[in-house]
Amino acid sequence: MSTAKPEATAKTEATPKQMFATRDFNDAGAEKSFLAGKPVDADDATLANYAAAGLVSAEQPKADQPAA
Amino acid sequence: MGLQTGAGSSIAISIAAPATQDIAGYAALTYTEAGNCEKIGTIGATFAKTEFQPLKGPKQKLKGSADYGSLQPQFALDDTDAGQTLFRTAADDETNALYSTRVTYQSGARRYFQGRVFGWPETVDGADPVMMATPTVEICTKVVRAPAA
Repeated sequence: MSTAKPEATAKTEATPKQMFATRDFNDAGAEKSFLAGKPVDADDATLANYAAAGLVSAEQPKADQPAA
Repeated sequence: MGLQTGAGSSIAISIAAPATQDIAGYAALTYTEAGNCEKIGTIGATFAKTEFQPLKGPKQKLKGSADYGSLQPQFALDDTDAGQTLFRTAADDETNALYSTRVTYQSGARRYFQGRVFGWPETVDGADPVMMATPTVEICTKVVRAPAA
């Protein structure tokens, strides 16, 4: 029986459903563009890639939050 | 499909790891394609050559250790491109985390592997040439070949 540790892989943390673009960016493969501060509509695995790249955040930009 | 050119080929990256090192494992992942790619590079393992010359008889040649190789894609630098940004994230990652990569050929055939990105050098080569990024992706697993559908 092998006791070797598996090799590290990139973080695959679960991402919340609603994510917001941290800046303007494009996805060449999906042929989609996203605007800073706007919600990003994509599946969880795609959002995980975007989040790893720092392109999306679960925090809604303050300017877009509804007034109290 | 017989011969093909590189036109229409693409390279994409994922932070997720395949559950199994086969077509099904890699195909289940979601990749982010890097745009404005000019070249992808050379994909495939090479083996060290081990030789022994006996006093009598011809030289014997054996396959030594495998090197899964590396590729050096070339991108026109685009900070708004999600795939390029993820490649840069992989390059900046100071751990030995592996990132999954998918290369798609013109025919639709695919090549999958896990690797590490060793840097994201950006080249400013005079007034006219487009600024380029040329990361080196070291392949750390066997390349899985998926035929064109």
